[in-house]
Amino acid sequence: MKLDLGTLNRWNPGDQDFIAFDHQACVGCSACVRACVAGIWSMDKAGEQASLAPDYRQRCLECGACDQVCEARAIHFCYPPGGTGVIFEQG
Amino acid sequence: MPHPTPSYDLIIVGAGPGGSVAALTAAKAGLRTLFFERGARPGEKNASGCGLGPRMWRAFDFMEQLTPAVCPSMREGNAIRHHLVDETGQVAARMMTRPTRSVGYEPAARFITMNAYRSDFDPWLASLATAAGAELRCSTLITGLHHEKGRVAGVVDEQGSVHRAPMVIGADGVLSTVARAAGIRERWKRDEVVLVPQLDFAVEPGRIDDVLGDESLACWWGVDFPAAYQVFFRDGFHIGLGNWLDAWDQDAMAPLRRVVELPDFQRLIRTLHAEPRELQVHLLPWLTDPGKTYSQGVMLVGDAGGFPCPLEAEGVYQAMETGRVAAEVAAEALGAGDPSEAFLAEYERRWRASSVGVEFEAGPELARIWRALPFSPEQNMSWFIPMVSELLGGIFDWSEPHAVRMQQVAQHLRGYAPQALPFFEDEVVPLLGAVYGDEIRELTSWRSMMRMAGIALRLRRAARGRS
Repeated sequence: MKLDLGTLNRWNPGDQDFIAFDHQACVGCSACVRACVAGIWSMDKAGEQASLAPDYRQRCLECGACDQVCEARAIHFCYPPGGTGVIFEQG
Repeated sequence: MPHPTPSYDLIIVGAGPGGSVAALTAAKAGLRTLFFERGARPGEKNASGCGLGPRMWRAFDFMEQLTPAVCPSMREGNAIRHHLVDETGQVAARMMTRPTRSVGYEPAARFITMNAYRSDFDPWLASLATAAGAELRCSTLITGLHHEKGRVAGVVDEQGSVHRAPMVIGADGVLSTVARAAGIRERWKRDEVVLVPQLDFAVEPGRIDDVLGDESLACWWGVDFPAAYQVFFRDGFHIGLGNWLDAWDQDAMAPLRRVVELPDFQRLIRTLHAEPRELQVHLLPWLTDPGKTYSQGVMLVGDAGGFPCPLEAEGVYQAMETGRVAAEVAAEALGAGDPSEAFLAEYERRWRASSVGVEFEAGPELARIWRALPFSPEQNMSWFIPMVSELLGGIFDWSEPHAVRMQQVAQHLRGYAPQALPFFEDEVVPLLGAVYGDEIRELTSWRSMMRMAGIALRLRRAARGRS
């Protein structure tokens, strides 16, 4: 059975950013890429820095792991505005 | 002219189980109580924790009101199935356990867990609090604390509006804004939180009962993945597994995919006609001790306070119990007109005396053994699973006389001693010592047992020599 994880959830995406990424501070360790189950983090083409998907507001599962694993403190996660973001209907 | 924001006695940030029980307790105590939820309704931003244990019914009378009419997903079960998976992905041994004869609390003999989706459970719990008079505001993100004259005086929401109250309870989950704003915790260390991806599968109602009977939970123990849990609801199930943030060295979904792709798991999916329905992922605190949980005007409950169980990181009961204790202390602090940090030290004294605190008395040992076994698959499950499989299944071989077979099994089991005995001394004995006292350490030390075995052997030889 193939798991197509990207299509399973429902979001009410807001229009405000809730993840701040400081490119200057990123050291390219890729810890965020490994920790992100939603797949919104990837390494850039040169493989030197992390990159946040532009459409992350409708894909993020709001665990905050990217912020917690970033030793360089390049990622700051706060929650999306009230009433927006992922909706867990069978959580 | 804008109306001034009304003042409350107590503000609670978060309408999960901790926040709602705090709001219910406070409202019943006559406090003007306001609680906030960032989701459009309680439960849609939950952090799972859906196997509700009998101690919830023991501690909270209102749990008797939980029925399928208000919580359609609920399903109770009285058995846990354990699957022991070897390195080839085959289930090497399987067993089912039920409540045993030593269970003292009668309802716990009838059900192990009542499983309910938090998206059902949380709105119901919040409705009890609003029925008691607490005011709930949804779709509101609290971004900080409001201070006046150097003291906590309320909270600030995402619009910049101030909501006033002399006391605030932080029930806002693992990444608690209240904890950070109060200066209690900036962030977790990587070995203090676990990342738990979890998949929900839809199953036609009734089919789980038909196929699995009264099974409530299943555990998948592996030699090459951290232990996975499966929780069965009325119309679906969860499969999830977690690990500490300092332990992920690969894609965090990879171990869960490994479990879902096991031939036996795939067979279960086919038998249940299960369809993947939702992907969730949560951070959970998993601590040996919660540490500081209060400051001037602020108390932290549930995940925000680091209260999940040190053994299995279950946190709903812990949130409810600490929510109740915090609200009771808040009522007393307000009655005394003293929300100082010194007064709120009473909160820690009370939660430590509660069943939540008792759990943490052996916290380091419980967390340590769990980390050393199901969360160290390559190091320890790699010998533990074959050893248990040998114990359970070794005798069932009809190619030899049974006595010969028993000798072969015993000979094989001896081969696990170099790993099993140090594990017993390093991990099991400290836990037994924490639970039963220091004497047990000496009695159960493997060196001591070897010494006793040596004495027994010499006595036996001496007895033979005399005869």
